[in-house]
Amino acid sequence: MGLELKAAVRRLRGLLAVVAACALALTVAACGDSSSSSSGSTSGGGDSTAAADTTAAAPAAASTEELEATAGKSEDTSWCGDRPITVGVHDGFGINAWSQASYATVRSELAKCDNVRQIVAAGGGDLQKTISDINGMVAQGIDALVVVPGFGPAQAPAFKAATQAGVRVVAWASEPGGTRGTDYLDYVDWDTKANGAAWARWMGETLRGRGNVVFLGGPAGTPVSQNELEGVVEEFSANYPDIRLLTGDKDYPATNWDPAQAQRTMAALLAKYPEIDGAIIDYGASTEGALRAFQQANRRLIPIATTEANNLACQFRRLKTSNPDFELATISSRNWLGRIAARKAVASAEGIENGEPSLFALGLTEDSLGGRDPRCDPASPPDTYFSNDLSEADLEQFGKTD
Amino acid sequence: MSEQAAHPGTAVAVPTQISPLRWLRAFVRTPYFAIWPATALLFAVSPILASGSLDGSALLGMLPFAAILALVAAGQTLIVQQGGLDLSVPGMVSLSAVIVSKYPQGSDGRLLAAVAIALGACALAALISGIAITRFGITPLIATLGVNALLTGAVLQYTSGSASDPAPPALVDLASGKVAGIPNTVVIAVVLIALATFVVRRTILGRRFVAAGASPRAAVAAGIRVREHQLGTYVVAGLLYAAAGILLAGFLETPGLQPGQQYLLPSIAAVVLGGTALTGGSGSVAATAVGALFLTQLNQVVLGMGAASSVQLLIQGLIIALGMGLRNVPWAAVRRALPSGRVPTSQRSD
Repeated sequence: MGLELKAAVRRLRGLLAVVAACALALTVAACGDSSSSSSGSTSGGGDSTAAADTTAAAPAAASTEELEATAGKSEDTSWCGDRPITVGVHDGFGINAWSQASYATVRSELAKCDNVRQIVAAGGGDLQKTISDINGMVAQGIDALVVVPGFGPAQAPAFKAATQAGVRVVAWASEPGGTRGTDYLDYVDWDTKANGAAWARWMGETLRGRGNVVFLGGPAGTPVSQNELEGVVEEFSANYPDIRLLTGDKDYPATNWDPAQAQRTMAALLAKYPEIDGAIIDYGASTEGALRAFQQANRRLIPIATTEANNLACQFRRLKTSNPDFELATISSRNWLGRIAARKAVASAEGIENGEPSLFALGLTEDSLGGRDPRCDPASPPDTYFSNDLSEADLEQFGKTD
Repeated sequence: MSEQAAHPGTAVAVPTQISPLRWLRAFVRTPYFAIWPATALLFAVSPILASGSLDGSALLGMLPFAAILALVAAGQTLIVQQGGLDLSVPGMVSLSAVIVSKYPQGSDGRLLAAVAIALGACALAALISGIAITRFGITPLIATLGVNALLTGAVLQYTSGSASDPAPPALVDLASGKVAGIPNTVVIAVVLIALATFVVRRTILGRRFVAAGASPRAAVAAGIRVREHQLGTYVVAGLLYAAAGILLAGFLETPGLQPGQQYLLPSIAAVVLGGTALTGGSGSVAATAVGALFLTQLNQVVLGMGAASSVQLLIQGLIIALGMGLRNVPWAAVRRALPSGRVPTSQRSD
């Protein structure tokens, strides 16, 4: 190695140290971003206003509540049409349990139509691959695309190009960016603000309108958690004025949707606030981390509102006996919305009207106080989401790309 | 790079008998000293910045994370001392955590086998990095980045993308248990780091290891088998990452798929905060461990302050940048410039 080269290497290493320092500050946020796409999007969610102009319901279409009750399942297959078409199915991440459930709902629904051929791909958490996958599908002549845009607005140009090429693009479970109608056909998702309101309502009732509550969100600044917090704040101030949101009305402590970070965040909150009566945590796996913080600090467990997960329900069952005040309410992981996204895409490509709603204000799928005990099945993987009503056979056959 | 080896910090470490006072005075002038008062200061102001952040429960919540980060950063320190930088940390920690939680299928009977497999898998992966670097001359950054991709792929292959089962109860008890009020994770980390420090500072093997890292060519000339030492370093680091992953799995119970993702940059930051130069050669595993404690407590304090997330990140970044920046100030020149410098000329370190 020449002297100059050595000096250059040394400089580079010095630079690396600085980069590491600066990057560390951002790592929480950055890792949060990657985990948001990787946890397939629990992140998902989306801006409630973007989907406000819900398609007018056709007379035959089921309501949000009816669809929620059946996990989006429907006997009717008139939406299939009869023209042979090809539908692309894509997920920006596509390799975790959440994505498997998402593939399974979309693909099993599409499989009901004999005239629909499927092309399926996974982005693997890689934006460039995701964009080239979608461009490739368009080149292969797909008529419609059912897609989880894990990278959000970064995928908007690809969707716009596909739409201009005549492809019916239906995004779901993560906000696509761009404009509905011109850049993509429709966006199907839960209403994140309604999630917050549903959690707050349950918390208000459970605490009988009085107490200290904390709210833990995902990565700093993510619109999903911001909207949920907004829903929580509105509900509390409208109906439960004596409930104090300790973590503030504007911002939330971040968990990055990572159980380990959630555990640390909860530990810090427990140290800071000697009296916490309830917690709203916007992701089930984060809640599992938070539970460990309570145990580490030897604090009794409190009512918690969050999203569903098999292992969380099992934890609840295990800990409830020694923590009589522990209660659990969860919202669905919403993979079942994929069935509706699939129907919308095919119906549009077939020229058939689909009057089903796009934005879903979901209720609680589990409520330990309301007679819907959290469902625990130790034999199933810890991240199974029972609200999707997926058979093991469907998950096995359709929960993958090939 | 050879001037690193001649640093006072290295000089005092030579196994000869010296009085504690002289040792302390020499230690104060090493780059590994600064992190100790900095950490003490952080703990002193913690309760002022965030009430309750020094309570027993807060410390018990923080210490295991610091211990696990310290183990990871200890491995990173050894690699840095050999002039490398290990980017395979996330894959190593994730793989060992996933193996010890998935392989036993909830049964304690299979835990020992799982621990052995996890250690073996990480040692093997580290060996691949080490061979690529020492035999084929591939840059450490590239080699370890590649191995990290392999490991991440292995994790997804092994788990089919579904979160693994909860860790077996014996491991959970071990990782969340306490001995005389001190978390087991801390005890294990302290023992392993003391062992590493002893080997590096007090044994011939350790001196050769430092020499090989400080100046490979000079070491070769001195008859030291540099390649073997470097290869061995990667394997030891791999074993430390594996140990961290195993403890993390036990402590988190359900570690998920990528629990190691959070450890790459903090491990490098802990090394630099501890005072080990990224140029290789001498270093201090113990100072790195204190750096890990500093980072973890800092994280906890800014969380506890309840400031907006953006402010938290800014504070964290600023303090770390400050900590690293202060090292690059030529203190000797500053002292000379001051008319009444406290340190007599004869005692200047550089």
